[in-house]
Amino acid sequence: MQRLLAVWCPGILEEQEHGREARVFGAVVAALAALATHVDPVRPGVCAVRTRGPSRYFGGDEALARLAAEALSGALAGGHPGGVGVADGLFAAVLAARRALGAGPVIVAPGETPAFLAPWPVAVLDRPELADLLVRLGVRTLGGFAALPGPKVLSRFGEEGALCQRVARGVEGELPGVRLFFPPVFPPAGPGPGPASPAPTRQVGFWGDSADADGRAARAVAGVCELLGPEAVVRGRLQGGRGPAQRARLVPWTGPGRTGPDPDGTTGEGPWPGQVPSPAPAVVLDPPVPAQLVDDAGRTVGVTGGGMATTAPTRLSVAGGVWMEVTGWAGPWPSDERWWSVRGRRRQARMQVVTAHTAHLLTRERGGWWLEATYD
Amino acid sequence: MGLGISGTPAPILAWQQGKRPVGSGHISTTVAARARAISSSRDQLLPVLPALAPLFPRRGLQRGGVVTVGTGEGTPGAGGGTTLGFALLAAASAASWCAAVGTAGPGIVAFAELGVDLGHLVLVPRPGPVWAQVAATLLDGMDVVLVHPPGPVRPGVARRLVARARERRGVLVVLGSPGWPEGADVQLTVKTGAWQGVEEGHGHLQGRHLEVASFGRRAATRAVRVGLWLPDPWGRVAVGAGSPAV
Repeated sequence: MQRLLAVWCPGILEEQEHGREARVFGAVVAALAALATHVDPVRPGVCAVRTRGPSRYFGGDEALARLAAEALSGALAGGHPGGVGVADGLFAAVLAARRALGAGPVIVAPGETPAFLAPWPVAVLDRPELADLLVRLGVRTLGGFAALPGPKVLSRFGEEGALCQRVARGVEGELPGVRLFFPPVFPPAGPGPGPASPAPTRQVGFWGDSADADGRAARAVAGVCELLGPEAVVRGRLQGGRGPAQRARLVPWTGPGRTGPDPDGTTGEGPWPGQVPSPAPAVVLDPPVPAQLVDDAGRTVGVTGGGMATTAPTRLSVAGGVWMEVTGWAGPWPSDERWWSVRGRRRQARMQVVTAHTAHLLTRERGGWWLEATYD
Repeated sequence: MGLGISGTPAPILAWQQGKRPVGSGHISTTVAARARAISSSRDQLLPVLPALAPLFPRRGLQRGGVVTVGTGEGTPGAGGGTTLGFALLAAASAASWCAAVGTAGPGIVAFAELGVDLGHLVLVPRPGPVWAQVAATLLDGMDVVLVHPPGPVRPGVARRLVARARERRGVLVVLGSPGWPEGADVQLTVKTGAWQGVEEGHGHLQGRHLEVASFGRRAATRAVRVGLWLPDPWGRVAVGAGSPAV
C-alpha cells in the first residue's frame, strides 16, 4: 500500500463565500507542490502526496511532515486550522492528519496502520447504515469490525461492507467515495464516487460533522438564490384563516433551522367560522382566476344574504375556457372577513364544485365568481 | 522538488482562478457538492407512506431514480396528480430534505394534511425559464426534488436532470408526465378519480378515490393498478376499493 502524507483542513471542506476557500486550498496545494512532484487534490480541504521520493530526499517521513506542516501553516496564514499526517493508505493518512489538527504532524510507522485504525469509531467509515448495524451488533470500533470473519461480513454487508472491512483492517488504503474532484479529469478509483445516503440523524463521519444534510440543503438553496434571487425560495407556514390562501403563507426560506411549531404559534386549527372543511385543495391560485358558474338556463349562480345559492350550478368555466359540467356542489360557506373594518371588509362565500375529474373551490366576491383553488 | 505552481494539476489552477468545471453535461457543478458514501442497497430507498408502497416495485423511492406522475391521456382535467406527487414526499420528508420546483400555487395546507413535513420542504414556485437549472441545483442537496415543468421538456434537458438525479442519488419526481420525454423508473398515472361527500348543494368534499397505474422499467416491468383513497374521509392516505369506506 502506498505511503502517503495527507493534509486535512476542515475549514475548507466546503466551498463558501465566493470561492475564498477554493483560493486558500489552491495555496495549500501550491505550497505542498514545493515539496513533492505530484500533489493529489483529493477533495476540497484534503490533499495527499506520496512520501517515497520526498521522504528520501528530505531525510525521512518526520522531516517531510515537518516541512509540510510549515508549508501548510504558511498557506493557511492562521485563517484555518490544518493537520498533517503520514500513514499507509489515504484513509489512515487522513485520519492521522485529523488527529494532528492543532498539534504536530502524526506519523504512523510503516505496518502500524491497522493498530492506528483500530480504536477509531466505525462512524469514520462514513457509512451511516453500516455503522448503525455494527453498533447494534456491539461492534463500535474499526478494530472490532476488522476482527469480524471476512466471509460473514461479505454475506451480511455485501461487497461494499467487505471493502470497508478491508479498509478498516488497513489492507485497503482508500474508501470509495472520498474523492470529490472534477470527475472528467480525475477518474474515480474503484466503484466510483459514491451514491449516497445522508444519515437521518447527525453523525460525525469521516469528514467530520460538516457532512450533514442540512448543510447540503442550505448550499443547494444558496445556489438557487444565486440564480433567481432570495425571494424565489420559500417555505410554507400554517396560520389561522378561512380560505386555503389565508390558512397558509409562503415565507422566505431562511435556512434549515428546524423549529417545531411556527413562531406565531398557530397551526391553522381553531374556530374559523366559514372555514371550508378538510381536505384542503392541493393547488391554491394566488391571485384567484375569474370564473363563471351558471345554472342550466345560463343564469349566473348567486348567493343570498342568508348564505343560500340562488340556483343550482350546472356548468363552470374558468378564465373564459371551455364549459365543464358540474356533477356536484356544496356550500356556499359565507364568510364576512374583517367585519371590524369598513374599508377592509370582505364579504365572500365559498362553494365546492365537482366537475368530471376534479373539484374546485370557488369564491363569490364583488358580484363575480373566482377560482380560488383546485383539489388536484 | 521545487516545482512550485507548475506542478499543480490543471483543475486546481482553474479552481484557484475561481472557475468551476464546465461540460460533462452538468448544468452546474459546485465543488461543495459532496461525494457521498456508497451504502448497502437498503438505504438506497427512501420511504413512502404505507398505502403508496404497492406502487413501487421496491416499496419505496429508489435513490437516483425518476418517478413521473401524470394523469391519463385523453382525460383532460383528470385530477389528483398534485396530491399524489406531494403524497410521495410525505414519508421521506420526515428525515430528508425535499424540494418542489414549478408548483405555482402550492396548497400548503393540503401538503401538511398529507403528512409532508413543511419544515423539510423547500419551494421554488415560480422558477421561470431556468426551472431545469433550479431543479438540478436542488438535486445537489435535496433527497427528493419534485418538478412541475411548464410544458413539454426537451430531451436533452430531461436527460441532464435524470443524470443529475442518478449522480447525486436523489429522487426526481416529475409532475405532468405527458411532457416528459425520458423514461422513468416508475411511471404513475391517475386513471380515474372521483370525489365523495358532495351532493347537490349539501355535504362537502370528504374523500377522493383514485385508480393509479404504476408501470416501470427494469425491476418494475409488471404494471400494477392500485385503488387509493387520497385522502379517505378521515384525511388518511389509504389503499382501498372504489366503494366508499365510510
